[in-house]
Amino acid sequence: MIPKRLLLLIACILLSFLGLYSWNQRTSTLDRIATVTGLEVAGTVLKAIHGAQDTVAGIWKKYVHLVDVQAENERLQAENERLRVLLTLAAEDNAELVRLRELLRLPPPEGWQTLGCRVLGRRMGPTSPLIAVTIGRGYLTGADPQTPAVTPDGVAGVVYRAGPYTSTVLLLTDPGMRISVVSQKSRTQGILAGTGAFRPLEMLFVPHNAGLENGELLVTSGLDGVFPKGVPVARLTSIRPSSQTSFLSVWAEPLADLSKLEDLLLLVRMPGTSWAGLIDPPAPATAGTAADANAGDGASRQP
Amino acid sequence: MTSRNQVWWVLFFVVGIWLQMVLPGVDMLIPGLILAMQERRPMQLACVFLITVLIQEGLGTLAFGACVLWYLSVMLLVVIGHWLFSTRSLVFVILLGLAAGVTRYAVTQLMVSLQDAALDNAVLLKECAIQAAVIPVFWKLAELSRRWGLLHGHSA
Repeated sequence: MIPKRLLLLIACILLSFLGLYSWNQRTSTLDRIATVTGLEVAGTVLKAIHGAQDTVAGIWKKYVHLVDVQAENERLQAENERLRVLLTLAAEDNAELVRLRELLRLPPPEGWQTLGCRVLGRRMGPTSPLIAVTIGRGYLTGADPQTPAVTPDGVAGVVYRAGPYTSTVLLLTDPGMRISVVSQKSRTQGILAGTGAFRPLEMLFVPHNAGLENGELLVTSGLDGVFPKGVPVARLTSIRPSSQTSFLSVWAEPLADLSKLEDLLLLVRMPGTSWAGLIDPPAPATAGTAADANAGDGASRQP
Repeated sequence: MTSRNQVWWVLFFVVGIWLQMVLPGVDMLIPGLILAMQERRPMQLACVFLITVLIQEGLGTLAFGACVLWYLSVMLLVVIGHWLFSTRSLVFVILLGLAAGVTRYAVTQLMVSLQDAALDNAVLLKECAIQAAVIPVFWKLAELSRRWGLLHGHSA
């Protein structure tokens, strides 16, 4: 039989938990504390692990190189071995070089700048049911919440929670993710929604008379106040009339390969740029009225 | 806590975080919490609980609370299990792992619905099954390494 004291303790703990949970829902204080401490500690450990992996790989390469230099003086066969080993090791470097070059080649939209970052891990821990990755940049290094994250192929996601130097990026395929898109040819607008990992994306609210075609590219519309206009997101794979709603059932596949993310580019809005990628008109040089000043503030602060 | 004990815990957290990177969606720090409960040192348990909660809630994508609720459920299971089993036996930890997998599924479903977030049920089920299997294995490894590390420290 369960003692009364234990039942009382459970009740007290549950009540305290509910109180803390409700308070945190209103203030997000505990979320902030956990992000600034826990995420940062884990991010530091992950960066150290990645650094150690790189160092070990570097030492290993040098070791192989030195051993083979000695062997080179002894036998021609060892020379052949050394070259084969170096070729194998260089293949990974080459792949990384190609990947980084592609990242650098991606031109940022006008008025936005790009910041490269490394993916440290994906869906870490028991409270990560959302499809997300952890990256090595935080709000002190350009990754504020709602910062778009892209790959050379297209949109990958958006910064969800940010610590000082580490943050979490919610990926395109998460069922809670929504992006305002427009088709590249027919200029049909819609909302692109994730449906889960390794599943296609669904384009919502597309009317029956929309002139969409299979294979058409979907790009960001710039209307959601998060992504700049014109960044490629997905390619249409299926367009069918829906039996349940008055809209078309439209499906698309993401352009970015979200299962093999190693690096990401963050799109950071430069001061004085609107969300649609257009440069805001310069502020009047002379001091205006209070009403003018308020109106100017409102224009630069997007929803 | 002795310095050797502190070093062991730091190494445990580093290895746990690294294993979480390798196995996405699985909690590799909870065996440490079970170990800390079994050792019955309140200060150590409080520190391990606090650090584990902060790391997991920080890394997670749900609002603060899911991990706390799950850990409290597991701790309650350990307390109840203490009346029926020897809490250091492998059989108990295997049963605890199964129960922890089930409670994790229930807690995640509850917290996701409270936040009105969408969730891939199949993925969650798979992760809870892996979680149930991983707890006894990692707990045993941690216990062996702890016993070896601390005994080695005493003999040195």
